Amino acid sequence: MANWFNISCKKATYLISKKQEEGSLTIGEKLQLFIHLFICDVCKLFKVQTNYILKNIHQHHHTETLTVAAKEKINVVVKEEIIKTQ
Amino acid sequence: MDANRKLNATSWVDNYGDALYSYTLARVNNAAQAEDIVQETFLSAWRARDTYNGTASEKTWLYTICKNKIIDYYRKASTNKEVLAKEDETEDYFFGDDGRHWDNDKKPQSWGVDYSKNIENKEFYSILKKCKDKLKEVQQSVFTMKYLEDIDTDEICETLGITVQNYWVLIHRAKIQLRTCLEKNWINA
Ligand SMILES: [Zn+2]
Repeated sequence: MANWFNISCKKATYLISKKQEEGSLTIGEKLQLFIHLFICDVCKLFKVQTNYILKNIHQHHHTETLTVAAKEKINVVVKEEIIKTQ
Repeated sequence: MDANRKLNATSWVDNYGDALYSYTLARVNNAAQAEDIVQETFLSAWRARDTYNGTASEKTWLYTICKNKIIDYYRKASTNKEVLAKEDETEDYFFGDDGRHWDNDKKPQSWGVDYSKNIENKEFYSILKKCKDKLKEVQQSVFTMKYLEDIDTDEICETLGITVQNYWVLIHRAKIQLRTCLEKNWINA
């Protein structure tokens, strides 16, 4: 029983991820994680930091452009196909 | 055939080439592969021109086709890869052999940022992309599908042919590594 309450950091971080994915945990898992986070500052940091990353991930805007050569090549291929099958 | 008139196929590459390329490159992490996907998107769109009914805009329609091409790419990439979660040393690396505690050199450090604020920092996103590119292919696919594509867990599992437990493990490993990579290259840069 003592072991049941005392989960490892490996298990705790897994439960943190699972909660982020599923939105919830079983009652047992919730209790195990709660106790672990109460005593383990490192896993608490892991939780806060991964939440922070995930919360911000969506503002990810890319403004890459095709190289001139690549665009040219695609243009040729697509236009050939259009002419061939119009 | 009426609807076809709303499609301006000869201008697709000029009008949408860069946008679709940006969108694709953020998801497949390989310029040549992204170019192929963009080209295939236009070719497939052209071949399917009769199915375009004008309900969605031309642009939206092309994005939908592109997104399906990207999912096909993930699916193909996953079939030849070892997807099984146990074949991986990620946790041993971070938690040592018994897994009880974080390895002293690899445990999360305090970042000294206000976690409640949004990240308004362009650099974060370019580093995030580099960190994401370093992930193992299957972790990267899972992470991208979930957090960039907003595809739900069931569909990801079905596309990649993995169990939901396997999915949790893969996405968890992706997070552990992204966090560490960001700490190293963004916070402590
Ligand atoms: Zn811990």
